[in-house]
Amino acid sequence: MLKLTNNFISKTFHTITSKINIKKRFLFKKNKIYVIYYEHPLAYDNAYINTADKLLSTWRGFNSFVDQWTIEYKNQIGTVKAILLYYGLPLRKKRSSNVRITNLEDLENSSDKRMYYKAGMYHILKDLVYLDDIKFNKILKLLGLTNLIDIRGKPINVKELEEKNLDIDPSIKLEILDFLILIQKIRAIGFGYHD
Amino acid sequence: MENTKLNPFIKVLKLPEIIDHLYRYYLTLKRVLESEQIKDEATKELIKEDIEFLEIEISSLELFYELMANIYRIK
Repeated sequence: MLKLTNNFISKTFHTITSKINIKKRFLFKKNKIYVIYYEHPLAYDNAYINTADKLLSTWRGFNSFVDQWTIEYKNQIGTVKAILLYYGLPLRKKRSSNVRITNLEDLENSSDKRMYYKAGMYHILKDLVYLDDIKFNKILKLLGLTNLIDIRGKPINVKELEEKNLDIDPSIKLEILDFLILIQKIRAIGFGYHD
Repeated sequence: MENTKLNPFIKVLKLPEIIDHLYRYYLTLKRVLESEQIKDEATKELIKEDIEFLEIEISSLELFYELMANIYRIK
């Protein structure tokens, strides 16, 4: 009798937990904009997701990069609206008529991926000359160009990026920092930046 | 890094260094474009956009420097 009761409890418990599992909701909300920090494809834990800073999601240079990405988080798969940053470079999934919108397709097909990345980053960062209210450190954080892990958020897997050949060396960040410092110097001179 | 406390005179003195730095980027990108190492149009177009920005920025800063140099009698 006791064994039967135990079996019954165990089965009921299993049914309840499996139902809870089925109903377990995808953590990321449809109406929110996220930022995905993506690095070298072969790097361990190469993608992280976080809620996009308001500045990033409303900044004219960045809001056109919001795209739907399929992500896997803790064995759950779903889509999110996000700005994907590959070493800081925003990438849409597909090519559009606007060459300024850097994208995964063009990066993959580029004859010089490193150059595509750099030219794309210069293009994005040059707008900072005219933005007078963003601090240098804030830019570094927004673009994930710092090594601070805390801003990157939750580790995920981005389905569209599986088995992609985006071979760019992580040292590229240093070259971008040099350009960013130059832009900052122009702002400090007073071209677009005022105290 | 926020270098906004500099007085205008010091800012002007820093201009040639900044223009020179911009010019190095400009030359590098020009060289890459002319070397034909880039085969795809997307990368070429991005580089052209950057070159255009650098040209505008360099000439504006040069003009600004000329103006300020006259005011501060640097030359």
